[in-house]
Amino acid sequence: MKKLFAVALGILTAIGGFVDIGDLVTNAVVGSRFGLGLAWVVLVGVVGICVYAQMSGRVAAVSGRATFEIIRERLGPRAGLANLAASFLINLLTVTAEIGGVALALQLATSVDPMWWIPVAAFGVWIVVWRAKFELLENVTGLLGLTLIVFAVALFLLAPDWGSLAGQALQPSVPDGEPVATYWFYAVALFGAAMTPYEVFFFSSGAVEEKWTVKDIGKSRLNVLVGFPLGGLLSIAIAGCAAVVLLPAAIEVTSLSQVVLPVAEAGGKIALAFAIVGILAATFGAALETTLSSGYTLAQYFGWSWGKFRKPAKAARFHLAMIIGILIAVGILATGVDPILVTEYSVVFSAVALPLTYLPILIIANDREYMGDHVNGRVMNAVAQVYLVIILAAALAAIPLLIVTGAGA
Amino acid sequence: MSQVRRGDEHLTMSRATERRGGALRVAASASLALAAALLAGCSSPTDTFESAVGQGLAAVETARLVVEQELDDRTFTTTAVATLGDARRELVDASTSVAETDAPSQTDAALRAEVLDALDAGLDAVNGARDAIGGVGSLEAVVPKLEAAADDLDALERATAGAAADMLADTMGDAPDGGTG
Amino acid sequence: MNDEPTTTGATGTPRHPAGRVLDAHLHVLDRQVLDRDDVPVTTVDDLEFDGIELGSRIEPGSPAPTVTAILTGPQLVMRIFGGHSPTARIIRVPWHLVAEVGTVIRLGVGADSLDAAWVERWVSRHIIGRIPGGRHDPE
Repeated sequence: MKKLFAVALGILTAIGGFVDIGDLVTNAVVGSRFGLGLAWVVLVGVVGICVYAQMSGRVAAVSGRATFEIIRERLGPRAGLANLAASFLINLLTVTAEIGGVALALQLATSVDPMWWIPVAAFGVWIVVWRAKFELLENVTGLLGLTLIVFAVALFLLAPDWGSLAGQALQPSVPDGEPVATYWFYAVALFGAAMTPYEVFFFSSGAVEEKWTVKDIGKSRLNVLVGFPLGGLLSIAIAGCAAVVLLPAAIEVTSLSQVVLPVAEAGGKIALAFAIVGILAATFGAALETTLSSGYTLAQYFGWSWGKFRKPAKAARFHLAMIIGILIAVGILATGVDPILVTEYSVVFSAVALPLTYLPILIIANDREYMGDHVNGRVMNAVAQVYLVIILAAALAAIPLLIVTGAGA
Repeated sequence: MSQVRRGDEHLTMSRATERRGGALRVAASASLALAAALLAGCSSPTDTFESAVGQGLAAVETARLVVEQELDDRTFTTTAVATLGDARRELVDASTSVAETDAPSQTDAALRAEVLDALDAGLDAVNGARDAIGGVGSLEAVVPKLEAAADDLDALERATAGAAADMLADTMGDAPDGGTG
Repeated sequence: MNDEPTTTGATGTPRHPAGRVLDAHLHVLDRQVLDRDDVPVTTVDDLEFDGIELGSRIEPGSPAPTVTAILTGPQLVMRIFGGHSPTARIIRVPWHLVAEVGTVIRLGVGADSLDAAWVERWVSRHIIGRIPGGRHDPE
């Protein structure tokens, strides 16, 4: 019974933890402009992250080494440095977006300007990373993030034309008034939002910290394979709500307040309350994960002592790096930049950084020195290689599309 | 053959396998320059008007939706206030981008004036809604204002889209379509 | 580049060396160095050799060069961008402190006794240790 509870907890936190500010915003924007015409990208992204999260978990469990340590060892310091710089900067951008997201969610609840909430949110993230029971908070934010299911409920309550929605999803087409390049730009953005690199760093570092062994691989596989797809369905529900309420009203999503409009429309204050709580939990949880990921990448590259289970005095540079990261994020947000804009850039640049993270994982997962008999099977390798091609295509297309479409304007 | 002894400098792997540490290639800034050129490049006034009208329409429709929700008690006042604030910011943004656009022709100038008027009406209505929630004026009275502003912007959207299509046809050498909207 | 963890003197024909044969570039360089308690110390940024000069040939029959230390500090920057750092700034971890070479390099001593850990100690004492809660175990 206890084991069942633990399994359920794992799956539920994976679902709630899948959605972050990038998913929320990008799916809502896409739904309000393209309907469900990009739902297939979410599916592709979910399968991709399942494949790679599971691979990096296995690598961590078998080799006892976290992703970035292996990147440094296998690629050498030069390539590793390029990898570090790109991953760290993009991670930092994501931290900024998530903290901004927390502030925006708090504004929805209190109508106090987000600028006031930013230092509060940043402090909250730091204090958890510094002292609080991380395990507990991860479970709390994961479970509270489940309230985002209200988006799926709202979609049903809105009684949409399911046939037309299905048509949009199964026969994607670019609507009039939107250029084809913009459609593909958002495809790349949605892909980057689903396959966030920080997820992999966080996952593998956590596996090393918790000293996963081969036996734990099965449990993690279950969490990933059940949790992430359900999280993907949530993402599609967010897009669906936007498609049903916002698209016909010509409301293109540019702020978080518009993301929750369909929920209030469908279910009134109660539904809205669930949505706001869910958004708060999801973004805060993601802020914790990305902050830790930034610490992990730096510490693992330079060989510092790291870990959220070590006392800070024993992992001093790791914690200092995270403090500086949070301060930089606050600095960026303090300039008054729109957190939604930061989010949109963070998902696009995440797509650019994907090959840097995933290629090394794929290489190591095939390396017998690290993996022994647990190297990738042929099917897994085939799938992973197909995804590598997709990832490379998305990464190469991202910046040109960003420029040509003016960030999807 | 005498070798210069360098005191106690031992051989290290890095020295044994030393390569010339090259200067980092600045191909990045070359492509950045190209990107800047592309960005600075071409957007006609009609494109700016079209996108500003779309932006304004989205904002006014958002305001209308949230005001209806507030009247129906289907949303929190705090959320409604935040939503109206966002909508207002979008309208100001759209107005600014239009106001700062050059009008190379009489038609463009007339269009610009129309768009600014419509956006102003929208801004006025959204401000009215925000004030009403704060206790100044009635929220119900704002609804028809929002609807009117939305209708105007909608009509303008079709007009600017048509004008943009005409422009595109002109530049591509085809005869323009027989009028729109 | 072959390297043996124990000093052997080759006489005449090369014989099968006692101990393991490692490729320094593949198996040692850039690996994580852990101390006796499995606390990460640094990475192997460079290796120091004794018994050989830069540019000279190894005559057959001469004693093999030995690894004398793991180097860290500004070495990493030098490896990436080229150049030499002054001897004084290089931080050495004498090779005789190494207890085990595997996917990580394990030392037989604690990090506190090492020069290589001075940055960590400094940050810990002067910055992190001064923030309330820094010295407590996480809950």
